[in-house]
Amino acid sequence: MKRTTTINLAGLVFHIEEDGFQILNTYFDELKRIFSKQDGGTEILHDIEARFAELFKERTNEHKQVVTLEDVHETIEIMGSPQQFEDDDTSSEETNKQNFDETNSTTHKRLYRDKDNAVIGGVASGLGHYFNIDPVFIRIIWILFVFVGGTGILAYIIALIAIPEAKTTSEKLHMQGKTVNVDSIKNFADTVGNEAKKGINKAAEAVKSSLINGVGRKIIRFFGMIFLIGGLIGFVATVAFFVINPNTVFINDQLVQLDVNSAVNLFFAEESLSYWSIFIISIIPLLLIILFGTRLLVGQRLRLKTFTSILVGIWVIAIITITVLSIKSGLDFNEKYSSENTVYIQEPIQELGIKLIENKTEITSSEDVEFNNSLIIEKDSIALGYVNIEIIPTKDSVFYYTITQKSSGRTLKTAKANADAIQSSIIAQDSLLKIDSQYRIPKHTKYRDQKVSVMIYVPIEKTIKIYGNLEDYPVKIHSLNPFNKDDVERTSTWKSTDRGMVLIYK
Amino acid sequence: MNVENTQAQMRKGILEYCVLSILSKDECYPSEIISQLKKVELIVVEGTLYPLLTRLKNTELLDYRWEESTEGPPRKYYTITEKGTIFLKSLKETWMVLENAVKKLENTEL
Repeated sequence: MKRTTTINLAGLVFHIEEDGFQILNTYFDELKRIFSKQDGGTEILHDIEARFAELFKERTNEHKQVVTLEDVHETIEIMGSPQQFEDDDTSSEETNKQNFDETNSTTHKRLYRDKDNAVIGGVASGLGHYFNIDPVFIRIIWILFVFVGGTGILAYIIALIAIPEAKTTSEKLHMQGKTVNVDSIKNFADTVGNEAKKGINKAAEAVKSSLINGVGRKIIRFFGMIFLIGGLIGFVATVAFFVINPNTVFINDQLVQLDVNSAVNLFFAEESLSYWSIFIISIIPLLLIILFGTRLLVGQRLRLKTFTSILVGIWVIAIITITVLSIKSGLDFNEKYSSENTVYIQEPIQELGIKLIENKTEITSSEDVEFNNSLIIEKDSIALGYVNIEIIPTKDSVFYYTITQKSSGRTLKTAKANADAIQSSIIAQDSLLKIDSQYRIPKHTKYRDQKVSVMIYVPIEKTIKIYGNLEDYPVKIHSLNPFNKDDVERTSTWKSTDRGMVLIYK
Repeated sequence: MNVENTQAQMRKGILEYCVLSILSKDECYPSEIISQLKKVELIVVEGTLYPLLTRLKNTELLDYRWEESTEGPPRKYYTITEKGTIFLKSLKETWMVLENAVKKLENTEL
């Protein structure tokens, strides 16, 4: 079953199949364009129309009343394509025109969705026509992108909205890159000619506009391609960055790199709202780049104004949201609290040793470890570095140390709770203090400027031995005498005097 | 330079001559002219003829009259004018000269 439509050809009525009509209509439009500028053009058109009527009449009778698509194709084949029967006297123009047609057939291509060969929405088949490759390859690439955090699906939806469907025959021909017919040279000559009469300035403009149609369009398309590809890559990367959660990939019970989610969780109060706001803020510009690229590619026909405004609107809302949340989180730094805990070492020792522990291993030699002051997400906690260490002489007779845990909070109460939640570790073993260089806050608590410092007080005339690499470590030794920092690199012994700590060379 | 192009141009010049020649014998409507030209393989597509006929008519080498048809729209019957006959005559002379020239050149050995 096919729908038909009724046409009037040279005063005769024909029932014609709709797809056939579309083709015939395009054909006559082309004829009109070519012959309207020639002397006797209307007459030629009328003659041709009459001939079509005659040929259609031959193909219909009482039993076959409808002019079919095949009839139209057959008749057009008999009559020939419009450019074949232009009656030009000048041969040079003829050759020019043919060359022009050949080059033009590629530039005249436009990007459409091909619903006829579609699997879903004809995006892949349309792109296939455009780039002159088998749509199967495009589909494979697309499926690959689906596995990258589902980006393929999102990108497909965008393409579906952005790329128009080829509906009319003319659009279909443009999609396949077949030139419906061009008398662009003639058009161009006519325009320039007419404009020249009006004035040199206007003629120059016409040349300029023809440049935009030719070379200019190619350049625009090229940039469109770059924008589209760049946007898509950025899009995929961003989605992957946000969606793939490295929290699930633990190596040796800890994770070195910090993912967006954890970072957001650490700082912001409303985690998921902040997370998605940041996601939207990053993704929308990329979407706009993709849309911009597509628009450059397919030209002015894209009507994206509403869509773009919606995107920009969402983006602004996300920016406002994140600003409000930042201010809200910033208020959490309002109050400060610090708790102090002093421990006396009662044993009568002459020398106290200090060893640092990094990642639960003792540091014995300076080559063993490079201190990492970044924040590390572990399974149940977040490890922060470093614990500040100060070595101070004291007039007391015994060694003692003070652990200070500081934190901010919105109220003094929350600040105290945050400070109390810090886990720091100092193990006293005989004459040895093992200090963990990191301190931990429980997972799902916010980073509110938590800090830990350890003050070690050394009685005068007694010594302290510091093991390991302290070059990069914030050990503050209260000493009046200047000392060479290189000396602190290796294990060093310091003596407490009433003038401060003094390095003993051994 | 491609062959098809040159062929099309040769054919085009001769086409004018042939159409006038056909019409010098009897008045015809386009379909009849087409079928004769197709028989001798001078035209491939019918569309070519219509602009040519209009041009010849506008330069007063041809004239036409309408006739009702039972099989379709009314037909234009073309006839050659006096001016056309004179034009045809001079074309014929040129054609003879050309035909002779080509034959002679092809048969002459260097």
